[in-house]
Amino acid sequence: MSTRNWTLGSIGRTLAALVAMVAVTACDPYMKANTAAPFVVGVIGQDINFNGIAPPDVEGCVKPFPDPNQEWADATYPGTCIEGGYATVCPVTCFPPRMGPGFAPYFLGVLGATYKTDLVPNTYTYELPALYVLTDYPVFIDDQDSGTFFDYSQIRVVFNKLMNPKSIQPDPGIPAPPATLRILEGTVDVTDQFAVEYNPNSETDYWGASIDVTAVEGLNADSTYRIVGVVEDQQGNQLNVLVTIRTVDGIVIATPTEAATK
Amino acid sequence: MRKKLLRLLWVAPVAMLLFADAASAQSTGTIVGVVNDAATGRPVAGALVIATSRSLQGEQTAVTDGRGQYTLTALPPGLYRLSAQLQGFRPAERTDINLRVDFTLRANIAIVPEAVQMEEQVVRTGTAPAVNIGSAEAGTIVSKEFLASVPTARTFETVATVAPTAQFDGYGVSFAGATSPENNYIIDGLRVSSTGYGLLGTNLLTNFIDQIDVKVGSFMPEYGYATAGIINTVTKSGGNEFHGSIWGNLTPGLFTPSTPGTQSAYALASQSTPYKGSYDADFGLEVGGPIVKDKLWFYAGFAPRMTYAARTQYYQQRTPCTGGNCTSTGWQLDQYGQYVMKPIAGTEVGYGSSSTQYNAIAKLTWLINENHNAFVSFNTQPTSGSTNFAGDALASAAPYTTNSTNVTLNYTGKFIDKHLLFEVKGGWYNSYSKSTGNVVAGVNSLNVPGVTWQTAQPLENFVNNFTCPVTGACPVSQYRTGGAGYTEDPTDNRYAGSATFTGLFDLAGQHQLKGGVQIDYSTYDLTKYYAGGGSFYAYGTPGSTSGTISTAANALRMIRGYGELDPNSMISASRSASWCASLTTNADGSVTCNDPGLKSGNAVKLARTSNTWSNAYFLQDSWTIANVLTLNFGVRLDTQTISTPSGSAINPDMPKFAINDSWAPRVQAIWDFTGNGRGKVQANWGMYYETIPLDIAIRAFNAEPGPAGYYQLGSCNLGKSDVKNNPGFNPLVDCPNVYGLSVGSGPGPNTVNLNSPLVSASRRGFGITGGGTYAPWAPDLKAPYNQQFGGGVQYEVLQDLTVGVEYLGRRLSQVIEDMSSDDAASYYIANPAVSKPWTVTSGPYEGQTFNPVNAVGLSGMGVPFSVAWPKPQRDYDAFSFTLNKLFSKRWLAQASYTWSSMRGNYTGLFRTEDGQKDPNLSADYDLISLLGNGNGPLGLNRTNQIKAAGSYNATLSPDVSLVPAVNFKAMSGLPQSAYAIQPIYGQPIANLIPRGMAGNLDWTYQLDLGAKLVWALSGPYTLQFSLDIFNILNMQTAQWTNQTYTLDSANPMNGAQCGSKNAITSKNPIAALQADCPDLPYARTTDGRRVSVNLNYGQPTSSTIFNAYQIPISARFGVQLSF
Repeated sequence: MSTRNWTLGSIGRTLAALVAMVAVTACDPYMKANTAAPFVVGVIGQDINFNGIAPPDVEGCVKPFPDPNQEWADATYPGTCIEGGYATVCPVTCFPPRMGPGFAPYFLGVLGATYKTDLVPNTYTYELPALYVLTDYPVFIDDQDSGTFFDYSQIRVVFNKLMNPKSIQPDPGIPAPPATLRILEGTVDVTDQFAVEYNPNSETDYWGASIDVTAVEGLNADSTYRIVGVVEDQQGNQLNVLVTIRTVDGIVIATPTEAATK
Repeated sequence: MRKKLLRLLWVAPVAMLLFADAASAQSTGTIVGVVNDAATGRPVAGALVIATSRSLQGEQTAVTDGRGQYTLTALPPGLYRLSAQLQGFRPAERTDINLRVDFTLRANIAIVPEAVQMEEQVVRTGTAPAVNIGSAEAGTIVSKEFLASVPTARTFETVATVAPTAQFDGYGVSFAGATSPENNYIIDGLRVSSTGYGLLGTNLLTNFIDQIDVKVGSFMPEYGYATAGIINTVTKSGGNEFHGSIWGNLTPGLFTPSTPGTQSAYALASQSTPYKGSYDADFGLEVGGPIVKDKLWFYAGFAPRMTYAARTQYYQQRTPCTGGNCTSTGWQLDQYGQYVMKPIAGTEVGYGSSSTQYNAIAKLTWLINENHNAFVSFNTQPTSGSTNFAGDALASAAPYTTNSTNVTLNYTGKFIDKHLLFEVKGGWYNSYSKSTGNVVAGVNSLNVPGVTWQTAQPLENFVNNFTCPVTGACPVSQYRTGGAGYTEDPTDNRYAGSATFTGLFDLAGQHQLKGGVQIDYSTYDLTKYYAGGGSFYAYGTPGSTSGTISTAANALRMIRGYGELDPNSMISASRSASWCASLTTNADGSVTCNDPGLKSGNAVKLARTSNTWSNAYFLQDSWTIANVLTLNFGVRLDTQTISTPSGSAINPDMPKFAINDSWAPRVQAIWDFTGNGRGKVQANWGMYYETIPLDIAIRAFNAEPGPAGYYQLGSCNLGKSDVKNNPGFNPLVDCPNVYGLSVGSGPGPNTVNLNSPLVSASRRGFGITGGGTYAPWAPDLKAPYNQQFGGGVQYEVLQDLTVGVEYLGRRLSQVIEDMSSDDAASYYIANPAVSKPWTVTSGPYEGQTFNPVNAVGLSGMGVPFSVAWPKPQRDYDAFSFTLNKLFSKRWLAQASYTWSSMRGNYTGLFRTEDGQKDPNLSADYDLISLLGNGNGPLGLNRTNQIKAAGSYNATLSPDVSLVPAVNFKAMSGLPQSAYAIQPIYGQPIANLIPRGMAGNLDWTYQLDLGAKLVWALSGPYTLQFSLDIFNILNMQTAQWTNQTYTLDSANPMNGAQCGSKNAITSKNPIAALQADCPDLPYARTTDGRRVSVNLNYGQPTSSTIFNAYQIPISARFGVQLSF
């Protein structure tokens, strides 16, 4: 279906070009670069089946939890703890609300994270750890009760801002990092067994980009993985990254013998 | 004498074509001035000042006070002659004083003592004033001369875009960046804004209009019901002589080319093809004159209008790869990455939309005596028509009838020697729209669900006897089958009245103290056809009969546009109870709803009613000091109460929604630096409160069910032949596992297995939104308001020619929105970032705490969060340079240049992004996850606007004249964005990059030319032939583009630094945007995959409110016989 051309239209375009020559085009400046120093906000164990819900409580999970629990949250952020929050691998029933960019991150399909607090009364400041270590990290949870299989083969290292993609994944079509970012299993470089991707999308505006590290064949149990290297933000500020994941066997949750009632 | 009279009339033929005798006792103006002794310069007391005009019944008089001052109030707009008389002085007069609606003109008069020797018997003072020295409001007046000579639309609303900062926003006229529902629309003093949405409810033909007073903003407290502009329209009146006209206008589609087909990678396409039979025709007559001269005038008009807009639907196919740029599946792409599509011959089908409207108007104007007058005005517009769509039969037609009717009564009286004015008016506004449904094979389209097949699949699946010439080359996406889907029939009523007094007195200057009360009782009744419980979006393939569906790709998704909820969010006693009267949780975790009313096999017809009292009280003073400085100050109190009589569950905490403390102070200062009404410096500031349209009452306070969910499609009794041969496919009947949440009754179990593994847990959902009962509102809720401020200079450089420069500032200060702190599990109404947290103490939300300042909760996606709600922001700043030439000496002109900037995170009472028209109930604050990248240039941000319009009367011979005219607009393009699917709402509304960062569209230029040839026939008759050519440039510039960067679910790239200036207008918008945004090539879905880029991104496409392309050239022919 073609559009009819009109001689008048050509004349009109000429006139319009003349008008455009005299028209004032104003600038539209509105963006300022985020010059904040980059840092790691948190580390997430991610269920690559994206079940969208957290795993249930795990039998035998006892304190000390790798994540903050209700008691910790009540003491740290009195009155702000959300009851009924999702459990992690250990039955943490409450997450501290994240009140700003310097606070504890939240976790989707969380397996746990480690961080420490340095509570200043009434200000809820939170000191981020220099190093991230995920311990007792099960490589999967098979919830036979609900028929849901959680495969935690992905680690997300979340930054406070967008980073230079080239420092994490030079080619957007190839999920591989530069030589300055490595994945180690023990002391062995196993980077080629992982898809390493730059992920600029984030769930809240407190978060920036993340490194998505996915074990192509799954993570081995009872291993220690490290994500180590140097990345930089879009302003050229460099940041050392060191994340440690100590895995354990997957967890199977059998169908309960008694029907649960609510 | 007769010839001389005719010659005089030809000097102003434009005016002659109209009724110069228009009058309105309600929308009037004021003339003030000082009578001086020309010999001494001293003011003269006791002089009689007489105002006469063809617009005025009889005459109005005033006597100068001790300082020589006089004031003539309540004068209908028109051309005035003032004369001053005093014993011992020669008579003096001023002529050609063009008084416009709501203007205050200063006309000083010098009178000469009889002792002074001079030849003239009557002293005439110089240039007539044209500057409104009584107000600092921003705006313009569109005169009847303008309407008669300059090429404009046939109805008056879009004519208002001639005002600086104004633009068409898709639903109406936007002023100073605000959305059109924020305006107040007035005809003959009656507010005719629709009660549901606040849009214009009555759009009269320009033939019936005398003047349009376009107030851009900054008006005084006597005006309200608006946070943006006011379009104050005055219809024509009769006169002391009989005048009238008979006319006909025709805009044939024959001279209008088609618009380009919207770029599409799919087989179903359509385009506007006006030359295939479109037309817009109207003819009518009007007549006005005296019933009793100078006492009782009448005016009446009648004009049918018929329109037809032709479109063509056709099929097209993809082209197999022959080398170069191709898809991985073997289809040819062009150099810009778009599919090369070829129309399939013989598949063209014409369809279109038609309407027939009967416009009728009548007015009586009665001068009881010099101090008392009244008028009654009536107009109505019964209309019938149909809107057609491309697609299957039942979905292809939506017949309707509409009408709007207005009746206004007005009385104005002057007391205490004209020092006290009293005005009372009352009126009724009614408007309705009714869908009649299209009946095919005995099935009414209103009774069948509309199904949109979301996933791409072969066109053969839907169309009988169609075979794609190349196998697989004819996929279709979002193909519509079934019925009309969601349809609504609104009925508006408004009963309005007001009483205003004005006192004139001296106290350290002259004062006009005005106060009044405005009563407005409005109703909004809505009947909604959900056509089966909602509109269905099918992801599956027709004919698929596979068993268990394990992926979302084959799911049937029912959504009414509000979102799907995670089932877990529904597993709470309070929420479940809100949508199911009897619900039990089974041992296996499933939930059974035992409420038989929750399933329907037929269309759901849901009727809801609502009403509001919107009353206002104001007091203001206009204080003029030393005849050069005027200070206007006052305050307005707006109150509003909303009730929902049909609602089954009005908020038990607060049975009535009431806001009664909207105090709006406003101040203005005007300095007439010329001292004679020919120039001014002005400044203003004020607060302006919104009157909340009743859509919120229907949707949020009225037990509106909002079904949403995913279902397995595979078990539906649905096959290829069913779709083609049975367009009445009803998911609620044909899919046993679909359990719609709707109103009505029907067969089938009502079990909703919320934990069913049939579909991926992350993809299933079921719940209600929008308040299955109601949305609770904050106890400390305040009305939305903004602050307006500005200033400028105007000067009348030549007679009737005024130039000016003006600054306008607007700051959005507070809004009302529905909010959800738990990502759509529950909603509440509040002032975002302002209302204090509160806990509901009773009703279905008992015990729930809502926090409009900090969202602390658990999202429907299973994400705990805490975030501060951002303050609504819409910062508008504009500088305008204006030129205004009133009609005199054969020509008139209005021109302006405006530079403006509008930034923020809130567009107004509708969303420009997707056209969502739900005032105070938009998606903007619905979800935490929608906040990301929300700040940027707003959707109506046009940096530059250039406007020029005018006409000139050229006398070709004593009996023939030619009136050429021009109307030109040039505007910089709108900012565009890049969206991803918001995972909860399923709509492309998540800002991948910051709002408006994909660059601005190209400038649009519209040049309309017109010419009228006018013959004087014998007697009082004149014959006019006119030709108006609209959009002669025929550039068809893209006005809106497909801004969905990906159809995958993805979160924003928060903080992305990619302010592209021109990506959206480049040849390859995708590549250009990726080059400008370093993060974009890496964009990920919510589940970590690379997003699939929508190949149609950046291609021109129509949205709910904007056409893909500028409308093409068209020509309108007219003929008119006037007497």
